[in-house]
Amino acid sequence: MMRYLVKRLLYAVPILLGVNLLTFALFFVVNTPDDMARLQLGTKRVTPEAIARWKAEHGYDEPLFYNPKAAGVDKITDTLFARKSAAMFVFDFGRSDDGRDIGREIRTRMWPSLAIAVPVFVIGLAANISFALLMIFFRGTYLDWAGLALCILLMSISGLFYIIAGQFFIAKLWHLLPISGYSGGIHALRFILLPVLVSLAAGLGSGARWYRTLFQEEVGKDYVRTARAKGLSEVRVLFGHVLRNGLIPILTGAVAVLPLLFLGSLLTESFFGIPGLGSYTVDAIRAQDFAVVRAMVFLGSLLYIVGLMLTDISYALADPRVRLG
Amino acid sequence: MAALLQVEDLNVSIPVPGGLARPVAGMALHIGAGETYALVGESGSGKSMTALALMRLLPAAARLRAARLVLQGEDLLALPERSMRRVRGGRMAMIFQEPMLALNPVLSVERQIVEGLALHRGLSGAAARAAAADLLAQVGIADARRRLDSYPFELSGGMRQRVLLAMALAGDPALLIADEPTTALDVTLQDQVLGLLRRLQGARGMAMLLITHDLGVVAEQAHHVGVMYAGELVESAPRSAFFAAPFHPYSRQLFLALPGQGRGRLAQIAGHIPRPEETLPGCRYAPRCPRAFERCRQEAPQWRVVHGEHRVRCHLAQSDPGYALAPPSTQAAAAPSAASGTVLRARGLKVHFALRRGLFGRRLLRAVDGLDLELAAGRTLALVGESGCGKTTVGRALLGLTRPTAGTVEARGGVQMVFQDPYASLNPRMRIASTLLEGMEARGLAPRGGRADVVAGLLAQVGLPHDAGERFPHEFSGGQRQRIAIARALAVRPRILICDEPTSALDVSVQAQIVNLLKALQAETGLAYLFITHNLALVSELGHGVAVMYLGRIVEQGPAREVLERPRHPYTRALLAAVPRLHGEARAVAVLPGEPPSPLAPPTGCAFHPRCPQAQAACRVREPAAVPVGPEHWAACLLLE
Amino acid sequence: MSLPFRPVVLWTDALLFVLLTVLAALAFWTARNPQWRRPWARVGQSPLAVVCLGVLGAYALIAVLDSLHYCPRLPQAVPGQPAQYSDTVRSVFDALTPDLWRVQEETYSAPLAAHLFVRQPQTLPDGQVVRVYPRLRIAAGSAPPGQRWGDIARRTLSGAAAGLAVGALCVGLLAWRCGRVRGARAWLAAAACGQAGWPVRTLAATLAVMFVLVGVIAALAPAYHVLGTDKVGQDVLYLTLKSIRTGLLIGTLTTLVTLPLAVLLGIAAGYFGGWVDDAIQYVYTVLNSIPAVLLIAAAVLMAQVYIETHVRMFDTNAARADFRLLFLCLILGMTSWTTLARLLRGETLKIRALEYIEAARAFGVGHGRILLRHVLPNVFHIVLISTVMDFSGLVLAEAVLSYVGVGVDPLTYSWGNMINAARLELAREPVVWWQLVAAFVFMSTLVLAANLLADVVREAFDPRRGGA
Repeated sequence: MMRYLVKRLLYAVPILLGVNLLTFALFFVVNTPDDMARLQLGTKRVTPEAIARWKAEHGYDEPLFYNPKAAGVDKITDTLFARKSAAMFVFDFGRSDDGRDIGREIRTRMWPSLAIAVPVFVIGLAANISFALLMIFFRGTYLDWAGLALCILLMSISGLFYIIAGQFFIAKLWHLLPISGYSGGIHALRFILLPVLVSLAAGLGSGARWYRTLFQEEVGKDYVRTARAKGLSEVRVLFGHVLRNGLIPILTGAVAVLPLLFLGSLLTESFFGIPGLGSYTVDAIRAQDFAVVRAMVFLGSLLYIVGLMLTDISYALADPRVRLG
Repeated sequence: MAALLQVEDLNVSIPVPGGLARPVAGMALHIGAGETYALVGESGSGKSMTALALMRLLPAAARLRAARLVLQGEDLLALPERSMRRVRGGRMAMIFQEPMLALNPVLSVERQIVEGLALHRGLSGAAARAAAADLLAQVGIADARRRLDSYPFELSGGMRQRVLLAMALAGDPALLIADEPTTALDVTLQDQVLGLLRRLQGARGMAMLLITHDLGVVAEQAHHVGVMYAGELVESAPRSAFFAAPFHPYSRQLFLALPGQGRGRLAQIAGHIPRPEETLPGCRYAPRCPRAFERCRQEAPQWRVVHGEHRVRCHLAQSDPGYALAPPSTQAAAAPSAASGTVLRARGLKVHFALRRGLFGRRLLRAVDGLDLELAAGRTLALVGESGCGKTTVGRALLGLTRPTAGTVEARGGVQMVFQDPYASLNPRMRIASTLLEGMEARGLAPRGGRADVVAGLLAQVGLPHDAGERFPHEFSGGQRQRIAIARALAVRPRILICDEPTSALDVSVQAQIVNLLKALQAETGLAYLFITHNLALVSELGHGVAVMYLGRIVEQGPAREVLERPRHPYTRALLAAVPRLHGEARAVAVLPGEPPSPLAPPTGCAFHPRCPQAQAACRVREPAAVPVGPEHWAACLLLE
Repeated sequence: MSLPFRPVVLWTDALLFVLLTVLAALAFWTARNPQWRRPWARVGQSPLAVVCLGVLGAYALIAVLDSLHYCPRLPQAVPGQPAQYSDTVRSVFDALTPDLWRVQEETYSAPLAAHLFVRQPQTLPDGQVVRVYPRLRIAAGSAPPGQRWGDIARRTLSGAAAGLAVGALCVGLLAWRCGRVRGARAWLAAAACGQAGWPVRTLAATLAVMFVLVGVIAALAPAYHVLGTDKVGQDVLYLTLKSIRTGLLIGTLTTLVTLPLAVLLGIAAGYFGGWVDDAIQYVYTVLNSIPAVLLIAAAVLMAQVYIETHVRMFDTNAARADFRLLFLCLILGMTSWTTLARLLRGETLKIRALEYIEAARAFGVGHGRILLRHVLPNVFHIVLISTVMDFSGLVLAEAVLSYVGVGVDPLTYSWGNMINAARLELAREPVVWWQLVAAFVFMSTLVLAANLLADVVREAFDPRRGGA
């Protein structure tokens, strides 16, 4: 187990390095810091001095990979790559274009994100699995067919629709919950209820349909016939045998996205005014704040790799056939 | 005495696009307590569907109808589903063909056995565990308590089938339905499992419905035999009467198609089994029956008594009760074309695979470990062994698909291969003509004459219609596909053909066709065959020479007749003894205990010593060398030195 | 004599026509190969699929018409001078739709209204300023206010009748073509009883509904804004229909990037194994590990910087918007090829071990030929299924990306831009709902049809159900 983790961590390094190089290339090589400065300052009538000043203010006034002017090790470290990209390996995210410490923002904003994402994840998983099982239990009947049709309908509607319709009907028309906003402590519940409900509705269609396919595959296997031949009831076959096997890909798949919950949901958070990482990202993209986008890319891929590791570990725990090695 | 199970006029129908399929029609069965009823038939005959119908486990779309379906005096059709569940796994249990697939992969052996114990015997906790361990011990699993915590993937094939059997026994059934229980097993394991079934049956007084395609298994196990064809039972008789004189032309053809009887050309049944949705006015076998006459095509035959309990559904029973089947045409197999020297020679062939384990760990799998072979033109060398002995790897190495770790292979003339699985060996997206020409195109061999002529010539050579070239593989049956595979190999005019279990996926009547074809081709073209098989009956049918493999090495080699009649190596003897016999009594004890060891960790000394009934202290230490025991006949055993 | 218009081929137009050519070639090849005809025939026998194909066909037709661009010739000021062409790029679709759709009102108006939705100050002849609901420009020549509903009903009925007539004509043509063997009348009789071998009745009903819709809209359009107008007074129906092209392009052009990458790399990784596999897996793990939205955002932001610093490369607004759309397709393709590649890698691994590949290798057939003749045809159904299934996801993604601000150019007609512009309108009193509803309904219809078709296609091509 330990050996596996060490191996996996070693494997993560080249991937993160790849991510870093890719984003670095996108942000600094394809477009130079000069372009960025021009964009921020407005394209017309920008003096070279203004550009230089902007670059100096934001720390973009260094060479990309190699600094011949510096001395010793600084030749490598006094560069944009070392400062802006490689620094992220030690979680030094730097400052956003408006001068705030990105690391601190991330630490405070992840809690509202989690407050929405965790309930959505947990309840959503349970709801999707239950719905899928229900369809499987009634497989071949009109109920199954209707359930499937509902799933396809639900997944054909844009996520934006659920949010807008939820805000309009539940909040505006019926005044059941606030339209948007957030507050800490116990009052948070009032604010997170609507976003959570909306997210659940938006995810139900594709989730339940996918799980139904997985369960259906299991139901067709030989061991299910064996279980029936033992005299087990359909419910016990479903819960004792089919669910146990079908849950393995479902849970391991779910574990993979677990770390990404930190990042929150872009749409939900920005529509409902939740001060989480999702809305932070959207705001940064809209304000063309490259420092924040870069930080979020790095964080996202780091969490993705953690998710991959968790998947493997959960596979080994859930499936006796899998050994980590 | 009333029969334990009485079935009259059982019908299964499934709606299919464009009609109604009747996989089982008018089935009738009577099984007495403690009796074994063997249901014999080829694939598609409806025997498995019959078993599922008895358990009321048919697919949801299927409809079940029966005049009578009574188990121990209780009408199973009248039972509500809830009560039927008490019967399933209780009074009537079932085991299946593929033990790996039939076991739930993620539940422990204990959990799967205890489920049945809890349901039918109300056991739980320690009592259930003890009972489960007891069951495992009964099915011959050593160290039963420890095995309870195992998962199916940790067990060997034979052990999985035993676990499945233990699960079935959990409810203490009065009737055990065994659906091809040994088909997936090697012959020595089959022998063990059949013996186990007989013992358990005797000890428990349990009746058994044995479903099989193997007449040898029937001869050893059954009290009563039923032959199924295309959804219908066509003959039903006590074992002795059946084996002494099978009546139905289909039953007789089945016997004549069996290899290894020294009859020369094997009987083959023309045409193919009608599809379940095809309705025929007369006998369903009539289109293929050599004895069919007008009435057979117009009127479905009723049951006729041949003698005592021997009954048959054939018009011949009425019109010509004493009919004798024309003696099989004993045209002696064409004399093999004169052997003209060695065409294939392998010396010291070794194929080792490095299996990665973990980051740095490596383990060596010695699939083939020092093997010498020689094959003469126009001759067939049969390479025999159980699964995992490395015989397929030998074929691949000789063909050049796998690079040998050591040793040399010399071939004079091209080598080609006919693969085992006719469904995987043809590209489903390619027309037959393209498949046949592929080799020539790759070799740059200009087809003599037009492409169409070449294709037609090849198809004619393997007995397929000339228009087959424009069609796709899915339009052909397994046997036809295997013919296509042979034609593909012949296209590049090889001198050596490696046949890797080419008939193991086929029914016995189709197998006969392929065997006959291979023989005829050899006589015609002087091809040399390396015939890889686990079926010893085929060895005597085809092989001039035979080599017996065990764990990557040849342990005995010699002329086929010599080896089969006077085997010298204990393993060869065990293999031969384990083959179920059509005539004669079953043995009480399994000929060979245990299962082959893993080639990852071969035993020291003679690899066979852990299973050898005659093993001595020296066998554990010293590797045996080849000892000549007759003309061109040698065996590697210390006892012979 | 000079042309009355100057054709304009935008990059996306060109690629769309490349795609159509490829599709046509594929259809031709499929029709000749019974292996591929069978599953498609199964698709064609499903009534659901016929409805979906009808809907998708209508959308595709509009998108294609909207992709034939030109600049109209300006009226010649001085005769004899070389012709002058306008800077505004129009499409054949624009030419086919009434000019009145492009009559801009002042601001919001409700569907089928005669007056604006909001009061506007108006100066009366006596100099007094009152706030009234002004009459719409489009309604200037139509029925007087009191007879509006009667007028609408009359136009609806006549439009529907015309639609039905065209629909009947189509069925007649169909019967004439399909009934050549046993006579059109006999064929019609069989089709009416559902015995033509494929769902003719469903197709006829679908066509009828669509023609009636077109007829009604065509009858109403000259005098009414059928779906109202938006904040700046544009016809919502026109906006929605123009958005179809964007949605379809994003759903289809992306596959031009996805497919070559996914097929090449996925199959290569599975077939060759070893270091090739390692390298390809590394690339797609890196790409996968970056959250898709962020990668798209980063790339689009960079594209934006590029556009703004190279203004002179893009002479018209249309070219600019087109570049951004193309770039969006490209980057969406870059982020979405990994899923398909992984699927193909797995399937190739399985196929590589099959005996027909071994047989080919035993003949000494080269890797290239094996890949082309043995592997590719046997994974093609996966490519097809995944392409159809991805389509709907891409259409939906456009809306989300436009909301985040990294979608298509704000000047491009798209459902995402429409929703983005209208999302605050629900907060108005009284509510302005038509723009949102129109965008959602049109988008959802397309996505639903694609999803349902994907389901049918998957069933038909699933090898386990005797498909492909």
